[in-house]
Amino acid sequence: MPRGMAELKVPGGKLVRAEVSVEGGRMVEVKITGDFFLHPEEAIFKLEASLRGLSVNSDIASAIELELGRLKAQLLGASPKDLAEAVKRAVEEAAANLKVELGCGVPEGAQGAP
Amino acid sequence: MPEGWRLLKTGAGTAFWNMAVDEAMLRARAEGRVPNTVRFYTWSPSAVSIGFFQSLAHEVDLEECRRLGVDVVRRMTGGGAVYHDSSGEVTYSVVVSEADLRRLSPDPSIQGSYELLCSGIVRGLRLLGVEAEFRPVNDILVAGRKISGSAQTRRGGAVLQHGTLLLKSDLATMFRVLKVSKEKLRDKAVKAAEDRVTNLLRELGRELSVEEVVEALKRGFEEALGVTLVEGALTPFEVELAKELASKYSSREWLELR
Repeated sequence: MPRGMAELKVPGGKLVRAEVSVEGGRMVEVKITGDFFLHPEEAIFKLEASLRGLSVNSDIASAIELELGRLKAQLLGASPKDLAEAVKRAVEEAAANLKVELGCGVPEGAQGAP
Repeated sequence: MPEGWRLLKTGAGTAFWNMAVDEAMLRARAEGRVPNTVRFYTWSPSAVSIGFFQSLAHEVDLEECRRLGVDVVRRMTGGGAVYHDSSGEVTYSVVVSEADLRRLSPDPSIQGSYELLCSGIVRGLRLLGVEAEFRPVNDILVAGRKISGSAQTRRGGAVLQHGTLLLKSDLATMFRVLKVSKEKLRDKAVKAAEDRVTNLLRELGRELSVEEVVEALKRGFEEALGVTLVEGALTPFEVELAKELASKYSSREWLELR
């Protein structure tokens, strides 16, 4: 299963890191870590759970915003868009890793035993 | 006559005990069992605390910590990783009911309450002769350099804010135990660590005792919040609860939560 990780530095100093695994165009695992604040803290687990199963092409920022609103959770030091951007970049990295796994993008002659 | 809050000077504790006591105070305050409280403490042995949302593997060099005898604990609060040197810093914590905080704070938002509670530290620093200022979200700076960072959480109508104030820096050890993210470095590479953080020794040119700093911070909080801090002790309820919580904080499950 292709995995991807991305780190995003938020203006003002906070770091948001996303780690995802992708299968069949959907996120099957999502972990968002960093030195931001989220009140209440436990909301992070429900937020991550809400992103599992989402298509990698969906509007992740809106999904995050919606879920945080539903949970009455408040982010500090990062915005829902920052979290979404980190997740999107992690998804892109997962896609790039998949290409490497499948041998795409590797120059002719570079694969296989001589 | 200003209202009385409890003052606790709990001295040096392990990382697990220190975090357990803060959470026990918060829960006891939420249940109305204890008054609003300001606590001062230090860490022994030296320890790393990481924020609730941080990835242990990405933030801490566990091997190096083991070698140096540095404990590692996950906080219940968000924010960043901190190296708590046993002789280089003072940590404070405040627990206050949300209702009392709203009464005291001109800005009832979470950001506003950070600024209010941090103003106790800013005032305390001024009493020591250091001009400091609050910078959102959670930092206190002296001439652009960070000297103190804080983190806050809320439970059942009560607020806990804890934070650290640097007396002197052991940057060499700090960089050995903390993994500094490449992404963070990219942004900050222009300034060496010495240019980004400072401490009281550097600002005042002399080494202050923990007691002297605590006395100034106590007065700082009294002035900033308009309260009188009356020295007291943890209640038996808090001590018992802290003992239970200490085993959570020292568990692998909690440390490796993320």
